[in-house]
Amino acid sequence: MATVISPPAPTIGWRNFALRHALLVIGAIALFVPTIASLGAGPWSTEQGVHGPLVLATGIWLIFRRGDEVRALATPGSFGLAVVAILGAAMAYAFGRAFDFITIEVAAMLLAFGAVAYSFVGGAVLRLMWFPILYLAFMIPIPGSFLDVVTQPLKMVVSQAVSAVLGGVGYPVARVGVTIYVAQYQLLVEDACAGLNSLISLTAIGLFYVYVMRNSNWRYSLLLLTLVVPIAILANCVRVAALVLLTYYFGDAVAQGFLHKFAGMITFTSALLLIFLIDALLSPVRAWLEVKR
Amino acid sequence: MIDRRDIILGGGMLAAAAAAAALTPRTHVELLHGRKLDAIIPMRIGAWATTPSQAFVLPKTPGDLADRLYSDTVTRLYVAPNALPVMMVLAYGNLQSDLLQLHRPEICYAAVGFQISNSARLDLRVAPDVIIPARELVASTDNRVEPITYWTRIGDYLPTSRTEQRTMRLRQQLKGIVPDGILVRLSTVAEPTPATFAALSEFARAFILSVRPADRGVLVGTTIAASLARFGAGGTRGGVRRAGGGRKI
Repeated sequence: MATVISPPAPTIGWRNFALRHALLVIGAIALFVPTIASLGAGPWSTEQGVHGPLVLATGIWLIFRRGDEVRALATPGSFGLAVVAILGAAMAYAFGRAFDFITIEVAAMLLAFGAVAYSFVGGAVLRLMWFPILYLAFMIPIPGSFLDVVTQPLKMVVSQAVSAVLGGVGYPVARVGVTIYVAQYQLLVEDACAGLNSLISLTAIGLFYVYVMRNSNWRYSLLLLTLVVPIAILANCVRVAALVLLTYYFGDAVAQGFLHKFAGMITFTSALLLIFLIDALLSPVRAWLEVKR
Repeated sequence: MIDRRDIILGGGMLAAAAAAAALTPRTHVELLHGRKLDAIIPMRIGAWATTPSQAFVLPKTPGDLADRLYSDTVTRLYVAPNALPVMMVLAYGNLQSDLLQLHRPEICYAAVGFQISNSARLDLRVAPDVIIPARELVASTDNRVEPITYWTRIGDYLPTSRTEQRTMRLRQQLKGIVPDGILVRLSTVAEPTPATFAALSEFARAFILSVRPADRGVLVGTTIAASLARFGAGGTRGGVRRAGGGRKI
């Protein structure tokens, strides 16, 4: 069926490329489809992973919109290196997928795709595309055991801050550990409220925003990124405070209904708004950094 | 038309997918055998009997992560006239994977603001030659001190730490087995003295022996359940409700 008789043209179009390299396409699909299915059934359906599909889609977009640069720079990479990478990726993928280490599985899949890309376009292009590649790495789910360890102190900070502020302005708020008492109600600051869940998503989105809006001035990007952690914590304080106040004024039932529907969104929106605000406030710094560059 | 690069790189990816499919464990081993924990745990254990209570630090809150982790849970308060009350939490997960694995109390209690201290391994002797590898620890807040004795089972292994839990799960997966798992947690609210922990161990022994031999596998694994059955499963202090139960199955 594939009657490609024309000599290799400078640009051959995607359909021709796929037909000519059918084996590569089938191999990639064999890795991609099952892994995406597992991600969809698992991490992507939890609050820690909601950004996954978004990162995948926007990451691919980031690469494709620079297609011309890629074509201009492309020189096939070292075949030996690609083979080594694909071997490592294949072993890690088989292990990760078979024994349920989805972090390893997804990382190995990305490595395999990276190896294939490298063999076609070479190291210079991969270096040029460092941002989309780093950004795509955010679709690798973080192991829950690691998240637990980092979330713990954050929960304490959030509940301390919220009870201090609300108590300061006169609400009947008390705190024991990560449990907040308001009037007759008792609220437990859970992982979901404590913000590390959204921290990864926020970092990804913050990165995307900085990159697209600020055109990869890496010094400024780094500065904004260091602010993502405090922003996430602040956003979560807003969320927990909102829940405490809702419980206080409207009772437990309303707050719990609200919790499941909107609280996550509020965190996210307030975090994004904070990033925009800080970006706007930091304009002078950015101008200065750009001059320095 | 297909060049060497396509064959090696594409073939490599296909091989990875195929190897993953071939290696994936498929034999589900569920020692609960489709029953409910509630039905196999006696309401009376030695001198202790259950009574309703709300004062639990639970491994799960409804609709939460833990709801997906555990397919069956039991929480009961056991009281006895001249002994400490014992809170029992059993959390059973019918399949253990990296994402769905039981949480150890060190994590669970810390997650709700308890400080964990004095965590130590315990060889819980339930019969002359039968030892359950368990763990003792103390969880405390400003106004509550909870000495805890617990063990976990993954398939036929009883890991006493998170690392062991991971390696033991992997060991079974390498044999093609998808194991189930359970957390058995016994605690009380009292000063964490050796006497308190001795009382918890005493309860644990009575508890295991009061469960029908055929049902013990889900709690301690088939190997330990089998060695217990060899000892006739009874006659220790604490009074076993079903004397001679060891021969029923």
